[in-house]
Amino acid sequence: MSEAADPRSATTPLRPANRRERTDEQINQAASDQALMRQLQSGDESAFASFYRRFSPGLFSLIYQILQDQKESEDVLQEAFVQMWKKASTYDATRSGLFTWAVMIARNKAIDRLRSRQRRFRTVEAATAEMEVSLPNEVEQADDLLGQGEERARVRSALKQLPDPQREAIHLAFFGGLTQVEISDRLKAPLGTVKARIRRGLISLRTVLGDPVL
Amino acid sequence: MNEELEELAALCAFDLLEGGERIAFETRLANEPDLRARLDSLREAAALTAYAAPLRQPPAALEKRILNAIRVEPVRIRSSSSSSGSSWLPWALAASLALACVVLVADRVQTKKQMAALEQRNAFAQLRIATLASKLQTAPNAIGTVVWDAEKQEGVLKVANIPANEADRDYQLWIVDPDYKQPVDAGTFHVANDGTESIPFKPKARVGSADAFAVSLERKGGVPKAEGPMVLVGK
Repeated sequence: MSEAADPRSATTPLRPANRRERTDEQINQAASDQALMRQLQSGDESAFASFYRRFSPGLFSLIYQILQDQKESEDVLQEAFVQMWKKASTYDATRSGLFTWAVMIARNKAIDRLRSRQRRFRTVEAATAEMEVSLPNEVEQADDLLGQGEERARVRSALKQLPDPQREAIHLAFFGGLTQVEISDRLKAPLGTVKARIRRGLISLRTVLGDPVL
Repeated sequence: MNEELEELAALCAFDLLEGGERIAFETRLANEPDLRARLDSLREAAALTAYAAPLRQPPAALEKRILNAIRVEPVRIRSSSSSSGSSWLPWALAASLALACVVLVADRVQTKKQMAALEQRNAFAQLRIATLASKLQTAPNAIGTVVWDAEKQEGVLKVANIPANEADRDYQLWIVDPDYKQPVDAGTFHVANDGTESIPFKPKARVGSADAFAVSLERKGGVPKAEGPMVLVGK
């Protein structure tokens, strides 16, 4: 198994939980991201291949989580990477990390596809059910296979620390392709309550995971 | 930052804002760097949620397919001297302002008759001029200027470099007034192939304070609350 399977970095060692210790590593990561993006922006195809190997496993996992369909996920991954290639010049390192930029493009593509096929409720239910069942094992599996699932495990641990209603709201907001009202309907909770859960959940995640280095 | 604003930022981080709520928030974003920074920070945290997805490898053959696909796609090359966001941003802002000035100068000629009517009523002191910046990745040079007469409750919108709209779509102008929960509808317009248009407008409800203006792309005839993509925003 290639060590490039971690979406954040193929070469990054395990990340310590301590926020101060992470700083130098994050700064190095950001510098590496910017160097890679400069190569992409100059139209360097070999840099794109490196970019693909580094991010494709994580992005494919994300897209599959949204669509629950292998063929469609492959098509959407291709659409997302082609867009990243064409739009590399629009990336602004002062606004987001490379990881966030890539994730948001892939997620938007997947959600567009999800909405276009009008099967969102069934898919979301299946995805949510799978997530609930598989979360602990998947963390172990990623660690075993890659030997460097620290970032993934850290995020999952942070998500697990959230109260169930906040975690459900965050999960539907990110993976579900639903509107605020649809999330409210699915959770059978008032709209204002759902908004507050999303806000509290996201702020908690940000606090636990620390400030990103841009 | 107050709770309500932070809630809007969190929802925006997940792309959950719609309609007037989105217009109002994006208008603030365009003018409040601190709010923009907060949103960016929350979006970074939101993106990390991707790690919650069970790990799944794409098939090996997909890499070759995608590498082949990008070889036939044009890529917009950015020169090395402009690769840093912090170095090109001031130039982009300066260029936008220059464009705005050009449009304003051009407007002065083209909207002279409309302005003259307002001036004759000694209403110049009531006039407000706003520059609207593009929200379109596909048309970053799109720009608009609004001349708004608060007393007469009418104004003129001039747009340039804006994509021609399809037959079943209209552009729709909105005025953000804090007295209303939703931006006030100020009418629809059509843009032809040359990308320019000058449109006199009157809002559908009385506007006490025109804090900002926005243009969205909507279905033909317009909508009571904005639903479509944002095209221009400014104050």
